[in-house]
Amino acid sequence: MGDVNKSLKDIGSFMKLPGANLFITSTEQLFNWAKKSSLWPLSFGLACCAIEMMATFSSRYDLDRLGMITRASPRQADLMIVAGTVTVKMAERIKTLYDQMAGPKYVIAAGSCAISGDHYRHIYSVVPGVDWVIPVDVYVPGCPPTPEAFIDGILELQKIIAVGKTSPTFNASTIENQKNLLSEVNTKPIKKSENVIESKFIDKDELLSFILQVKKEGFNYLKFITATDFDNNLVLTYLLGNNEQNKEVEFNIKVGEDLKVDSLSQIYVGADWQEREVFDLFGITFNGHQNLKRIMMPDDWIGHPLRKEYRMDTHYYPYRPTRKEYEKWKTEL
Amino acid sequence: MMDSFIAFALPIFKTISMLILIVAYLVWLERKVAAKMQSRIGPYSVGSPHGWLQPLADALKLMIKDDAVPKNADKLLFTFGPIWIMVVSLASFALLPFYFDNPMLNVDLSLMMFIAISSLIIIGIFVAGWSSNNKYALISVLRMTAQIISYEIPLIISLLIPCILIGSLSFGEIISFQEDTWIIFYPILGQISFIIFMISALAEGNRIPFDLSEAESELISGYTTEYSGIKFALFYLAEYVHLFGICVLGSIIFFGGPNGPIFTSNILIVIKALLFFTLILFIRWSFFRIRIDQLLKFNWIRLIPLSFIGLLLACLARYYVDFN
Repeated sequence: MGDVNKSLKDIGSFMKLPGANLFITSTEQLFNWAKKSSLWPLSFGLACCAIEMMATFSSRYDLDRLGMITRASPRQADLMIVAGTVTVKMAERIKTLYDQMAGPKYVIAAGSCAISGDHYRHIYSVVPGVDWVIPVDVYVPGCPPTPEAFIDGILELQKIIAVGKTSPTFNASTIENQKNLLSEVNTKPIKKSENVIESKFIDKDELLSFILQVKKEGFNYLKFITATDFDNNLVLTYLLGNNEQNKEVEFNIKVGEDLKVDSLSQIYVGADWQEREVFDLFGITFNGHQNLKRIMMPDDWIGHPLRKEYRMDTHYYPYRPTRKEYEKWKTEL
Repeated sequence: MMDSFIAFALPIFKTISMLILIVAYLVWLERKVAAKMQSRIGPYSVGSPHGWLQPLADALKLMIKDDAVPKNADKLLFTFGPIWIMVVSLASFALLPFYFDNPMLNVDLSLMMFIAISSLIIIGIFVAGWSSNNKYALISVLRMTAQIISYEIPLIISLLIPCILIGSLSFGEIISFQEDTWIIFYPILGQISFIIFMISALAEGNRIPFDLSEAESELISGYTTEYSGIKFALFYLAEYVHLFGICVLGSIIFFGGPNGPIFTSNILIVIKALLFFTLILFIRWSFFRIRIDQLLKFNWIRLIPLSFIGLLLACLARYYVDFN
C-alpha cells in the first residue's frame, strides 16, 4: 500500500497492450508532479535552526509560493525538516513522528548538528546526525542555514521527486565500528581537580536541623541545589535566599562514600525537581524524596553523566537499525 | 427508463461538479487573500499565472497518499465520518437555487429543510473524533458539539426574522419578495438579523474567531488529527462546501439572491456568495481566537437575547405594517 509506482508496475497484463508504457510513464510523471508541488511540512523544530526555519516560513521568504503549508498533524504531513541538535531522548520522539507520517514522506536534515552532530557529536547525550535514526533525503549545511539555503534544499528535494529518484541515505549500524569507538575511548585518562570551595561546610547529619533553623530566620526561598565532583568527593552546594531582608546564605555538604543525603523536598517545594536533577546527573540519593527518578536522561540510561569517572565518549546510543532491518522496513512502508 | 434516469441524474452531476470546482478555487482564493493580508505572494510557482494548478496538485497528492488508520480506531466509524460529512454538506445544496432556475428539491419549507440537513454535519464530526481514539480529537469534538449546538439557536432565529417579514419559508417566495428592496436594507430589523447571522455563521462554519476545534497550538489539528490522504481531503472539502452553502444562504436571504440592481440572473447568487466568503476571509485573517468559555458565554448572554429582541420587533412590525 502506498507505493504507487510499485502497484502500477504490478499491472502486468495491462503493460502488454500497445501504448501502455506511454500511459504509465505519463501517470507517473503526473503523480510525481503532484507530490513535488504540494509538499506539506510538519511544523516541528528542535533548536536554533528552527528559528531560521520559522523565518523561512514567514512573510519575507513565503514558502506558500511553492505550495507548502505547515500541518500540525504528522498524518497529513509529507516533509519533516529536522532543524537542530538531535539528543538521544529526542531521537525516540523523532522516530515516532516519522513513523506516524503517512507515505510518501521525505526528510530534510537542516544544519550541521542534524547532519553530523557537529561540535556536539562527542557529548554523551547527542546523536551524531539524524540519519542514525531516520533516512534523510536532502542535507542542508549551515550553522544555522540561512532561509535561502533552506529554500535551496527544498528546491533540490523537489527536483529529486520530479525525476522520481528518491534514495534516502541512512547511517545503518555496523557492530565493528561501535567496538572500535569504545576501545579508543577507554584509553583516555580521568582528570580530577582539587577542592577550591572556600565557603562554609556543614556536617551531613546536621543538614535538616540547620535548614529548619535557617528557615525560621526568614530564608524561605531555595535558590538552587547543585553538586560538584572533586577529588574523591562529591560536594553539594545549597543557596538560600531571604527576600524580605535581601540576604543570602550559601553552604556546602561533603556527601561521603555512601552518596546519601536527607531530602529537602518536604521543607522547600522547589527542592523536588532540583534534587531529581542532581540524582540524575550525579547519582546522589536523597532520603525521603517521594519521586526520585531521572528527570533529564532517558529512564533506562546507564551511569550518571556529570561524574568525573563517566567518560564523555561512552555514547549510550539510541536504537539504531542495521542495514538489513532498514531495507526490510523500507519495503514494508 | 434511461431518459428518466438521465433527467434525474444530470442536474445532480452538474451541481456536484460545479460545486467541487468552486470549492477547489475557494481554497486557492483563501490562500491568496491570506497572503495579500500578510504582504506575501501566496501560491505562485505551481501553474502559471499565480499558481492556478495548486488545488489540483493538492487534491492529487492527497489521493495518492497513504490512508493510515490507527490501530485502536473504530475502523468502520473512522471511514463513515468523512463520507457522512461530505454527503450531508452536498445534500444541502439540493434545496438551494444556485445553479439552475429551480432547485432540485422544490418544497415549501425549503429554508427549514436546509437548516435541518446541514445541522446533521455534527454527527459526522462527532463520529470522526470519537472513533479516532485520540485525546486531541475527542477534546476538539466535545468543544465543537457544544459550539455548534448552542450557535444553531441564534442562527435559526436570525433567519426567522426575514421569514416573518416575508411570511414564507420557501426560497422561491423569499427571492420574489426582494425584487424591489433587499432584506438587508430594511431599517433596524435587516441589519440586526444580518449581524447575528454573520456571527453565528462564523461559528457554524468553524472559522476564526470561533475555530476552537482546530486550535493548532492546543489540539494539533482537532478532529482531523488522525486522518490522512483522501479522508482528510474529504474533510477539507466538506468544510468549504458547508461554508459556501452558508454563504449562498446568506446571499439569498439578505442580499436578494438573483435580484440585482441592473439585471436578474442566477450567476448573481454565486457572485454575492463569493463576496460574502471574502468578507469571512477578512475576518478570519485579522482576528484572534477566543476561549471556549468566552465563546459560550457570548452566545448565551449576548447573542440569544439580542436575537429574541429582533424576533419580537419583527412580530410587531409584521402586525402593524403591511409589507405585501
